[in-house]
Amino acid sequence: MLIFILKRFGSGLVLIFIVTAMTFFLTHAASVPVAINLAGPNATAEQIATINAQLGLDRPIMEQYTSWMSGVFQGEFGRSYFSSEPVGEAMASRLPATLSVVVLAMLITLVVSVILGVLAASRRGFVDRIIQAISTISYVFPAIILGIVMVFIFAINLQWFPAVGYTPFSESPSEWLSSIILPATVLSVGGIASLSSQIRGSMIDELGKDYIRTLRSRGVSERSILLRHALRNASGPAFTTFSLLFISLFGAALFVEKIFALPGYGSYGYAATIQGDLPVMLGLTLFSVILVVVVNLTVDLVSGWLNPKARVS
Amino acid sequence: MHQRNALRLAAAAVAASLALAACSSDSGTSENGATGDPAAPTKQELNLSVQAPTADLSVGNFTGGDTTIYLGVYDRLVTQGLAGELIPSIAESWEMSDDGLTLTFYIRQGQAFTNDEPLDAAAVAASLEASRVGPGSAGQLATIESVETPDETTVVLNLSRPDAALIYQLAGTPGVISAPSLLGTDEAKLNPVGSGPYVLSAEGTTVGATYELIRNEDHWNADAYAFPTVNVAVIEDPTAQQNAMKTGQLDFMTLQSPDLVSQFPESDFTTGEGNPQALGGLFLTDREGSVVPALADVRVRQAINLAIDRQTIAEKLVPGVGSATAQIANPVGEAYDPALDEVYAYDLEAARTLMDEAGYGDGFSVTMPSTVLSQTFDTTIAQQLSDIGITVEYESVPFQDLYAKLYEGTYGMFWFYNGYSGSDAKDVAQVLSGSFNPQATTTPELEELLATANAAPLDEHGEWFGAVNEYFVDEAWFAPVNASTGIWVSSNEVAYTPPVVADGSLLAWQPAS
Repeated sequence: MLIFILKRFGSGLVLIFIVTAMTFFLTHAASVPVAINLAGPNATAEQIATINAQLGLDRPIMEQYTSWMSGVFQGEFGRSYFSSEPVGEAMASRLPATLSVVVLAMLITLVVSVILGVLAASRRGFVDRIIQAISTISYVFPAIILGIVMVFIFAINLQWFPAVGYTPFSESPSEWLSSIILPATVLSVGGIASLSSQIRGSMIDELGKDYIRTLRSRGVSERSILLRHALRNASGPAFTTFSLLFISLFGAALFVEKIFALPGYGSYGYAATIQGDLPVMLGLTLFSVILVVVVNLTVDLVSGWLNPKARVS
Repeated sequence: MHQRNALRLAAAAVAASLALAACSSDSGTSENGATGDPAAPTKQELNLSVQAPTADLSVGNFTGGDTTIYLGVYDRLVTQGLAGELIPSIAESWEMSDDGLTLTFYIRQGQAFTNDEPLDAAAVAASLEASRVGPGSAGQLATIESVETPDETTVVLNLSRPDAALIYQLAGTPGVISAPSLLGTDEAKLNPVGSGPYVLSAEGTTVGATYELIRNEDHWNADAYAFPTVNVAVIEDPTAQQNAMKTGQLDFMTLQSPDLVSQFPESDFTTGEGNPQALGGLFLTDREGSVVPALADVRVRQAINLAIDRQTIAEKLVPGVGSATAQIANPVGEAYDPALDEVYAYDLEAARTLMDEAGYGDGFSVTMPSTVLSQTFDTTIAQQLSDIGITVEYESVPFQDLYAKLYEGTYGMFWFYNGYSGSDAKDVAQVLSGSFNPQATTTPELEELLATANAAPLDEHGEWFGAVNEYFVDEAWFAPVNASTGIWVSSNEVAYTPPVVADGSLLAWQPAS
């Protein structure tokens, strides 16, 4: 197991190197005129040259990349070209908003998906069709529209929640929750569709197996059969889907953060990409790759724990 | 020169707006509080928002973004009031020498920065020296040859040539004065220390998301700033701004279109039209004919002006947000002459005649960039120019690539919105710099007019820059179309006075009486 983890760790490092290098050189190939955009339409050539020199953009490309990479090994990720904020600090300050919304969205997704999936698999018939219909609609219904509708109803009309902004947990736990409920709900919709279908399918498979009949013949309660036995055995594939959902939600947070003006990774990364803010793009890329590596490793380890047959030798 | 603020210009294109709106960093409700003093203002917090904050808050490095925070924290020697007038600030008075080569400021005594460093002539000179070399301001202060401090309260600027725009530059971002110990430090990029009416609170600020400004009670004019706290939230998306406005998280925003006014009922909101914020139109920059040879002929440029139906564009394409104009001067400035708007009254016959006389009776082709700024107008402009034989081909250009292409002189003419600066001298300087004049085109007549205008006393600027403005119209250096204004909405808890200078001061907002 230790060798497995070390191997994965090593391949993760290689992945980090490849992806950041690609990001760096592709961004350079796109050649967004950062200094000109910073200087604006009235700037002189001298002003643009000064900005280029200040940002180090007048150095050879390889030198810029090796300089960034050596900074990373010392825990320095550079400064944003546009906000001047150290990228490490900026990422640390923006992580709570995105993480709060993503984690709450995961929680909502999990609870609702389990309820829908188990109900659909156990009741079948009319209930199943209704739940499948709900699931399908939520899958195809654009979350951005749902976000707008929810803001209109719950923020503007009912004024239950704020329309925009994020309150840190440390400032006020209740306002923190209030500020992330709507975005998290919107974010969870797509995940509910896929996860509930996954759980439904796996549950139907499990409920058709011999051991379920055996349990029933022994008089074990239906509730216990569903939740203690069938659901646990059906949870392996669902867990994989659920875990990978965590990664995809970081990407999906982008539009939610725009609608709700949340200071998170999505809006930060979007602005950086548009502006060609390379230090920020590289920092976020690094974070994303690490996230993918860690989540995949966790999935492998937990899947092995849930299902010994899946363990890697 | 100046206001190099991509996002502000983009906003101007879409809305011709200040791009200011409001959002509280707390639960969203404004604090209306009783202070016990019936004469005291009832509203304690002003909640504003910006689409993009100033990128770098240190002196000399203002390279774009909204100036609300920047100019809230830093004071200048002189500032511009809401009507655009110059008013004393760090300096209580100033004088220009007769030859226009020496500008002397006399500093108000007893001032200090918010970290208690003394604000004397030496401190002012140190900031001005930093600005003279900073990439965000060097171009605007290029005429300052040296800065002298004969005593603790006098700062003397020696100029290389008369520069009428200079004092207005000093009233804006290039003239900000910082505590000397912060000059050139990384700290100042994010946590600036000035002597302005507000102090940036480190605790209440998350860079790029929310900024909290606390009133500087030691500012020489602190009483004029009614709100003890100003919260500035970054909200990029206009729809999110509107949502925040409707839920009371914002006290103010500008609207993209007058159609949106109906969403803000009079019972809770006040709406109005601001002063002109930006000039929209065709910039015919290739007056030497390097990319589009026809543009070297003044008759062709005049024909373009005659072929554009400004009234129809203003009324149909951007109704309710400005008025048609054929000149670059700000309609609220002294250089503006209403008669000049009639010089190129829509007249296709006259335009065709001029094209014939110039030898372009069969027309010519031109490629223009299609950007977020121009999309509303592209089809109409192409159609109107085709009436005199000019075939326009549009090239889609992402906004982040636009400036570079304009600097390179890729296009002979293009649609752009350029923000009015609040000074005739600066407006003229702006349209002669950077991407608006990539080939640095000039003529002896223009040089003479500029020299006279720049050397003129302050109270004669209107007349002399009016002459420059008239020259631009006669020679058809541009084909201006619309002087764009912004529709604003405020909560009924605040009273808003539209400033002439787009990046105006926080004095524009007062508690509603």
